[in-house]
Amino acid sequence: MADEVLRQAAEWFATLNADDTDDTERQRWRQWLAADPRHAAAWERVEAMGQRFDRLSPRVDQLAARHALGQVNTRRRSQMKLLGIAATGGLLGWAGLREQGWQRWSADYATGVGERLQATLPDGGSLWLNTDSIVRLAYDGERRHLQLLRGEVRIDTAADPQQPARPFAVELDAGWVRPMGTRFGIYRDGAGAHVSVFDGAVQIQPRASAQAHRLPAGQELRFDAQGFGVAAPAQALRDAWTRGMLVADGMRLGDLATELARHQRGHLACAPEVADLRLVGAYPLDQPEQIYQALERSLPVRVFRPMPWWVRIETA
Amino acid sequence: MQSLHLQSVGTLYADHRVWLQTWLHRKLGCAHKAEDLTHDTFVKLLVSQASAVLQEPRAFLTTVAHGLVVSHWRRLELERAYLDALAAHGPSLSASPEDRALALEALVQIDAMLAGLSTKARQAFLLCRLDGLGYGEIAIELGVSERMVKKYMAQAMHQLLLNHGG
Repeated sequence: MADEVLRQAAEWFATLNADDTDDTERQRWRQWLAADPRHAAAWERVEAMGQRFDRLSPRVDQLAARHALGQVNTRRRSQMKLLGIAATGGLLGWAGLREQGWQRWSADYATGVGERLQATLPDGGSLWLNTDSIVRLAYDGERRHLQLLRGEVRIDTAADPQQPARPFAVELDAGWVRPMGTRFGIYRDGAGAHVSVFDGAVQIQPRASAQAHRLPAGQELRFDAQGFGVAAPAQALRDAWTRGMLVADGMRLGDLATELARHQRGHLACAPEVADLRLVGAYPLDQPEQIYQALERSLPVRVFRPMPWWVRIETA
Repeated sequence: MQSLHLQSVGTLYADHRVWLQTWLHRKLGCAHKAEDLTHDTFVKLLVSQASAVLQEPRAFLTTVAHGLVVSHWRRLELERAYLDALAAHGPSLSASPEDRALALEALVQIDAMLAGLSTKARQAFLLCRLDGLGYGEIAIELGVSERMVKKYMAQAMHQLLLNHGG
């Protein structure tokens, strides 16, 4: 598009954004718009740009963003360190546990892509982290609190050795999950989370809703801050990953690919033509090559690999 | 056509990946990041429609990789400046790591949109669209006339349109 037309469109943008635009000005703008189809096309791009900006801006803190965007241009730092959460994959000092009950302590668990981890909770319960997950623990004299910041966990609760027993809760952006003597799993999914109960029951409390929901064993449910989805029978083998397996029982190939992709670095895609094929089987998560071979044997697909980290499942 | 392209990138990958990763490692001083950016370089080639037979593959690869290194540093700088500023004006209410990652992603995109703008035009545009200030208030903030603010706004939008030509 001619630069001159873009320049005019930008001028009109600046004019119309002014505090004191009057009707005469707006009338002139309409005339300009109607005068030439290229004007209208250029103006469309101005509007699209404005909308694009306005979609991004609410995500940032205005003051901090303006500061950062204004100063980075002119400043150069010599040495930068990567910020962010390091995947520590380990357990940080539990020594405080036997100290006074009031002593607060916390620890983080994290797994990288393709890693899984099992740990014993300070009260004797068990915690499993699936691939690419982060958990923060905060146990103190009054509560047993666990935050799932990312990914997926399976938890087997234990009776609190301390009396009176401290309440146990898992906190998510979407709300709280409070187990009642149980074995359950939580998988964060966007702003919401899937909860599956294998034994006992849990109480689910969305952040922005007064209503809580009791989910019994054998059921699963997605919820977000506003409320609940519909409870459905839990897939009994949903937590097979704790044993390093992915178990498909009539699973769509597309869903299997999505699930596998969570466990792998690089790119794994499934062509839409074959995504609806269903399959049954148990697959070792650590051996993707074995899985691909099994897929090629059992379905009319081929696994195309232009590069080691680029895998595409498509029609054979 | 597409698979031909994939194949040629595949050959490039097989022949030069290790070399490129070493080059990036030297530049970044971090093996993980070097691996990531090596990966990104080849992804960038894959999604680009470039199908030319490469005469100087290593020169070409380092050009692409260098661009990624520069945006990597810029991204870190933005991130640092943003987090510093956040910390300076008080802790934000409930910034989860995800919120923060979203914010930083948005920040990087905004930064890319504003590339090439003069400092004043950039400030004027952000004060207007981010903070919602009127031209009069922006004029006071920047110590210029309102007329000048309008001129900055036009410059800014013009540059945004040029940055995202279509």
